[in-house]
Amino acid sequence: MSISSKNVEEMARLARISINSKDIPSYCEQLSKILNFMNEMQSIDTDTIEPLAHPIEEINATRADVVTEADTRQNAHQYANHMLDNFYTVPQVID
Amino acid sequence: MHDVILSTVSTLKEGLLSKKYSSVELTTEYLDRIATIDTSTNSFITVCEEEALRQAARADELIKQGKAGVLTGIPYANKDIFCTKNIRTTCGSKMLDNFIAPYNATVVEKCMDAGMVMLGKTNMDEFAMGSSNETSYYGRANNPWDLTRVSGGSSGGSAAAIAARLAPLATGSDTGGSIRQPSAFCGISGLKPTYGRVSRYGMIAFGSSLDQGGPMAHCAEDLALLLSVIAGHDHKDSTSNKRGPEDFSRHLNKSIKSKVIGIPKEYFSNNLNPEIQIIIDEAIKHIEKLGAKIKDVSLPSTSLVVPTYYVLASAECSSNMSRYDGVRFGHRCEDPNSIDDLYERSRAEGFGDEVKRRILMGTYALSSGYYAAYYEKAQKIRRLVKNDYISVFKDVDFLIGPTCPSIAFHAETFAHDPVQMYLSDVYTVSANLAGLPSLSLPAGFTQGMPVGMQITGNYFKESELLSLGHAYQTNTDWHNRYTTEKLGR
Repeated sequence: MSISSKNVEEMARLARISINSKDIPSYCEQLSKILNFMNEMQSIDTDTIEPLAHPIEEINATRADVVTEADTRQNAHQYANHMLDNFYTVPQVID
Repeated sequence: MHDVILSTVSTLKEGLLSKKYSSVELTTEYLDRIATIDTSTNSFITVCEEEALRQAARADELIKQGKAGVLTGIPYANKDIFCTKNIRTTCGSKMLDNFIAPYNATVVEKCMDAGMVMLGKTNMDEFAMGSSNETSYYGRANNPWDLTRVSGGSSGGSAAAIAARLAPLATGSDTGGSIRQPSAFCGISGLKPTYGRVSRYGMIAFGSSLDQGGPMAHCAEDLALLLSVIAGHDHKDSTSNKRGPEDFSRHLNKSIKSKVIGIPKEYFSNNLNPEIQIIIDEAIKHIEKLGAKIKDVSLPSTSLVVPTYYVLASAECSSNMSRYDGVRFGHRCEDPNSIDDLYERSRAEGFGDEVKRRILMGTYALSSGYYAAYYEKAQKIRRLVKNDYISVFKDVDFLIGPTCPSIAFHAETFAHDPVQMYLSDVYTVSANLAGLPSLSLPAGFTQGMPVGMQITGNYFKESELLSLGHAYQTNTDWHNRYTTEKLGR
């Protein structure tokens, strides 16, 4: 199995990473090697095995939904570079 | 003062309490060494002289008032994956070159509460993705035993700093071997605790079901001291284990007589460097002489652990890395002409090659049509790996083998072959897949380079692992070897 240039372009689009077209052949080559290596997993039958998402099964402790600290917005904005009146700025999204 | 750099942390502590030297003097000694030696090792991304001296002065005050805890006034190096308020946290990436966290990681908070002194933030593979430190945006941390070789990864900066005696203790994080492999390459001791033992809050995420922070030091005795400070339940981490704080030094001198050591036959295959095999065989014999029983065992899924790990780690990485969008923090491209352009160029410019490869592979493994064949398949094999361990730990207390199949390799050995680099993680990734605690200790030298022995224990058996490590180190001196003459000081 190999990764085609179409696959690379599609993955890059989904992952929102621009890729220079001259780099696509080397991505195809390297990702194909990695994919072939990952395909070693197909050598065993796992039809009856339950997937394991997490090593320790006692997970996701949640707390009561109550406010525990003061508004930290100012703190989070302190080092942001692109701000206007307490809002993050981005290029125009709606015409 | 110079001999202090060869001391254990307990000896440093005695020196501080007996007023032989102050924390400010001790900190200054380490900062001076960093200024002189780190130009060769490149183990720090950021050195925090002023903040370290402030913390040291505060520690001296606590010592004077008789309020010192076990590690008050002891300097440490902090892997640049742990967020620090008002001090930049880069995670080894251009993406976070300008990032200053608005809060401290729980690990950092605990070290501060203990009165420890943070010397600086250590070098690492970008976002902890790498086994050689070569993916760091700040250049690789070099191996103090041979500067032309890699320090390992991803916690290579912490390992190099300990080996070059630039810090007595360091934090690390381990997603697939990132504490243990650089520890083995640099001849130091490192422990990956059980998943959930150390809080992940403020430890920048890579593979959330695999990531675990832990201590790095010269010896098991020092690891126990740092682990006692950083471990424990944290309500800010939803996967933090409920166990409270524990004193991991308490059982350090417990006898290892009648403990059963399993030797996985799959770890001693043809891929293992024969010189390393001889060293590990010798270390196992040594442990047998200390009273442990040796038993041959099998971990049948071993041949599949590396591909399985890379599917899961890449998938989790692709999800975790999506937060870096150039909007709220981190690198932003110049003059974006649309929101998509902002995302796509900021990410293309901010991430290095290995991070991009893993994001793309992870996206592939999670995408419609491939999910069952890759991500779900890997999760099923993950269950088999865990079952292997559950089965083997019915008969043995520990598993011992090499930490890595080779000694530290020369820089750029695998520059064009990521798969070969991935294969060097064959002995370490399974403890992350299963969530088990695992320790690497120096066990000998070949070609002038250190060799690591890996000891894996059952869930939450860190105390027992450290007592076995301490027993071994009480009877050997590999952990006391040092390289300072090679570094010119």
